[in-house]
Amino acid sequence: MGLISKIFGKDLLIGLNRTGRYGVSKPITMQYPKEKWTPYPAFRGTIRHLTKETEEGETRVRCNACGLCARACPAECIHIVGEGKGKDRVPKTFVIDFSRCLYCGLCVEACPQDALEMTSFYESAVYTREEMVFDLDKMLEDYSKWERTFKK
Amino acid sequence: MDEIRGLVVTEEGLVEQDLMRDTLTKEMWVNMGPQHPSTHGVLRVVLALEGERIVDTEIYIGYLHRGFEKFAESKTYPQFLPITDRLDYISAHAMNYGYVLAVEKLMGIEVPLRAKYIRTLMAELTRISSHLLWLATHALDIGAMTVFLYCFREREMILDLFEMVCGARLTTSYFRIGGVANDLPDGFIEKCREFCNIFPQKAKDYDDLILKNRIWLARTINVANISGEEGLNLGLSGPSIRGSGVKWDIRVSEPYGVYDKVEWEMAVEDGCDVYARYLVRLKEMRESCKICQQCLDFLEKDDSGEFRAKVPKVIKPPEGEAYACVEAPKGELGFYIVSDGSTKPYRLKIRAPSFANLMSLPKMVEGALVADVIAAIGSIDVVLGEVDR
Amino acid sequence: MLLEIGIALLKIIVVFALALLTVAYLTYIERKVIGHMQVRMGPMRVGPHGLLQPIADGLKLFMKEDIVPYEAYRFTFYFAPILTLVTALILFAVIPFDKHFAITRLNIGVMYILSIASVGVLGILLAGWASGSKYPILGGLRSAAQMLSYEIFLGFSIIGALMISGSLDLVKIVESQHVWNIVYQPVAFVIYIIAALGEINRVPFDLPEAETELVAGFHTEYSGMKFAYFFLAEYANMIIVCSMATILFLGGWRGPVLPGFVWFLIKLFALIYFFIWVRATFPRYRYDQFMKIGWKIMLPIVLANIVVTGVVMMMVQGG
Ligand code: SF4
Ligand code: SF4
Repeated sequence: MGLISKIFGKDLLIGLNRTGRYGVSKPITMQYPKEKWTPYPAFRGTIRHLTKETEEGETRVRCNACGLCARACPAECIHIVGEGKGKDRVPKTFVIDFSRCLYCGLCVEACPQDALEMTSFYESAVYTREEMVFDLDKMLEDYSKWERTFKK
Repeated sequence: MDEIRGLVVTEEGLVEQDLMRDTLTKEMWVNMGPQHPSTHGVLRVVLALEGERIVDTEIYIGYLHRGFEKFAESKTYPQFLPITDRLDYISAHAMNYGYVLAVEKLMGIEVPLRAKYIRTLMAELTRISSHLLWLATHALDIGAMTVFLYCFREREMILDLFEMVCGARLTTSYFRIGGVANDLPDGFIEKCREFCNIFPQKAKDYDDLILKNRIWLARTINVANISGEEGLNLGLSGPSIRGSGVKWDIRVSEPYGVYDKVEWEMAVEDGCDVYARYLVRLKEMRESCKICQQCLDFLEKDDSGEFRAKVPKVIKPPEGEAYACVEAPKGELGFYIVSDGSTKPYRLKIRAPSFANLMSLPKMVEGALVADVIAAIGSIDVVLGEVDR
Repeated sequence: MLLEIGIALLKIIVVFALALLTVAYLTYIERKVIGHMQVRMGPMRVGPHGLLQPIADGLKLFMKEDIVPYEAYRFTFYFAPILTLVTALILFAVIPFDKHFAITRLNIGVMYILSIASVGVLGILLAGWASGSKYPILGGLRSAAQMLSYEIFLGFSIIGALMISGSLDLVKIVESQHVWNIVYQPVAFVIYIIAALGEINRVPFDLPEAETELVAGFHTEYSGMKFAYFFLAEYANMIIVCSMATILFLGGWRGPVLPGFVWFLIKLFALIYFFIWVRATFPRYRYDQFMKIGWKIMLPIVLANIVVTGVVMMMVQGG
C-alpha cells in the first residue's frame, strides 16, 4: 500500500463504500411469522404414519408392527406393541417420543412397508414434554393444521 | 518490588517500616468462559494477567462432554452415524465422512464413483460453510460485526442446498456406509452451480471490509505466532498448521474420495500468525469452490445412478481394526475402530482436530495481551462439540 | 424577573425533553442503520417498522431486577451511573441549537464542555472499581487511560478553530465562521473526529466495553435502570461531540434558506450517521495500539497543526 493511499485511508474507504452501498440496498432477511420458509420436499420433519387401502376397501395403517424401525433408531424412542398374526398384524400401540428423536430418518429408511413418512412440519414446539410423545392416532393426523398462521 | 522504608503512623506511634508492604502487585486470575461472548461455546480459559499481559494460560474443557466414544460401543454401526453429526456440528458432512470411511475400510467396501463424487462435493460445501462461520465469528470477535452477517448470508445458501439434498440443515446424516442416503434431487446441480458461480463475487465483500483494513492487519499480523515445528509437535493440523508453512493436507497425502481426480491447490502461507491462518482459509474457500465445480461437471454427465454400494443388511464387520482420516475443515479428523466381529464397535476412538489444535493455544498467547487471546482462539477455529466429544 | 425565570425553565424543559427523546431514538436509528448495512432490517416488531422499540426497551430495563453484586461498594456503585448521566446531560445547557436557542450563553462555553466532560470519565472509572469484579476493573482501567489521553487530543484539535474564531463563546465561534472552519482546519477536523470516537468509546476504539474481550467492560455488573443510565449517557455524549464538531468546524446553524436549527440538525445527524457507519464497518483496535496511535501519531500532528495555524495567522494579520 502506497504512502499516499495510506494517509488518505484507501483501505478504510473501501470498507465504508461497501457498507454504505448495502445500507441503501434491499434487505435479504425473511420476517418469520409473517413470511414462512417452505422446506424442500426432502425435509426431515416430524414423522407421520401412512395408510393404505385394503382389498376390501377399508383404510388401515400400513405398518405391520415388525419392529425394524425401533431397532434402527439410535435414540431408542420408538415403542411398538403389535397384535394379530400374519397379514392382519397391526400395531396396538406405536409411540414415538419426539423429545428424544434426532430426526435422522433411519426409521423411515428401515421400514419395509414404507409406513412412515417425514413431513415438512417444523413448528413442533409445545408446552409440555407429554405433548411431544406421539401415539398412533396422533401420527395419523394432518400436521398442517397445527401450523401457526399470523395475519399480515 | 523493591523495599522503600519510611515512617508510618501506627497505633504504637511512628514506626519505620516498608512502605510498599501493602502494595505488592499480584497477578490477577481471570476466568474467560465458560460464559463469555467469544469463547465459542463452553470453552473455559483461565488467564493469569499482569495488567493486560498474560503470564499463564490454562484451558479447562469438558463442559460439553457427552461420552460419544463410550456411547459408540452400545450402538450398531449405522446407528452411530447420526451421532457423529454432533461432533463438529457445523461441518456434519465431514464428520460423517470420516466415520463411514473407517467402517468401509474395516469391511472392505468399494464405494461407487458417483457416490464418491457426491461425498466430495458435500464435504467441500461443508468446508466452505464451516470456514464462513469461522470467518464470521472470528471477525466479530475482533470487532468487525458486519462481516458476520455477510458470511451468514452465503452460509444460508449452502444450508439450503443441504436441506434440498438430505432434508436437514445442520445435522445432516447424509452419508451411509457404502455410499450416500439418496441420489441428488432434481434441480440440485443447477442450484449448486449457481452458488459456486456467485460465491467468489460475494466473497469480495469480506475482502473489502477486512482483507486490507489497517485495523485488521494491526490486530492479526504478528499475533499468536506459532512456528511450523512447534505446531507439529503440538499436533496442530488443518488450516492452522498450513498457516505456519507446513504442507500437510490429508486430501493430498492420503487422498480419499476423488481428491486425486480433481484439480486444486493446497493453500499454504508462511506467516505463522493469525493473518496467515486467515489467508489460508480464505484461499481454501475459493479452492473448495473450484472442486465443487469439477464435481458438478462430473455429476451432470454421469447417469449411472449408483449412489450406494451393495452392503449387507446387517452391518457386521470382521474382527480387526481400522483407522481412517479425512481433512475436516478444522484439521485431521480420524476414526479408529476396533471390531470384535459383532454389530457394535468394540472400541471407537475419535481423533478430533479441534481438541489437538486447542492445546497449542497456551503456546500462542505467551506474553500476549487479552485481546490477542480472542484473536488466537478465533484463528484456530475450535468447536467445542468436537473438543469434548 | 419572573418572566425570565419562566423562559429559562421553559428552555430547560424543551431542551432536555428533546435531548432525551433524541437519545432514545438514536438507539433506534443506530440499530436500523446498522441493520440495513448488514442486509437485514433491524427492529421491526414493536409498532410500525419497530418505531416504538426504544420505549419498549426503556420499559423492559425499568422493570428489570436491580442486581447489586455482593462484592460491590454500594454507594459508589449507585453513584457512578448517576454521575455519568448527569454530566452528559448538563452539557446540553450551553449548546446553541440556533442563534438564540440555548439554555444559557456562557462566554467560556468550550471550557465548560471540556471540563464537565472530563468529570464524566470519573463515572466510568468509579463504575469499574465499585463493581468488585474483574472484567469491570479491566474496563475501568482501560477507559481511564483512554479517555484521559484522548481528552488531550480532543482539546488540542479544537485549539486551531478557537484561534481562528478568537473566542471561547460557542455563539461567537459560529458567528465568526463566514467560511466554515473545516476549510482552514481539515486536519484538525479529522483528528477531532478520531479523538471523539475514542472519547465516547465507539468502534474502532470501544475498548472499555469491548464485549468480545471484556464481556461488557465497566458495566458488566450493571443491570436494569443503572445500566440504562450508562446507555443513555453514551448516546448523549455522542450527540454532544457531534454538536461540538458542528459548531466548531461546520458552521453551526449557518446555512442558506432553511431556518438555523434545521441546518444544525442536518449537520448533526450527518455526523451521527457517519459514526454509526464507522461502527458497522471497522474492527476494533487493540488497547496498546490505540494508545500508540494517540501519543505517537495524533499528538505530533495536532501540535504541528497548532503551530502552523499560529504562523499563518500571524503572517496574514501581521501582513
Ligand atoms: S428419526 Fe431417527 S431418532 Fe427419530 S424415531 Fe426415527 S430413527 Fe429414531
Ligand atoms: S418398520 Fe415400518 S412396518 Fe415395521 S414397525 Fe416400523 S413402521 Fe411398522
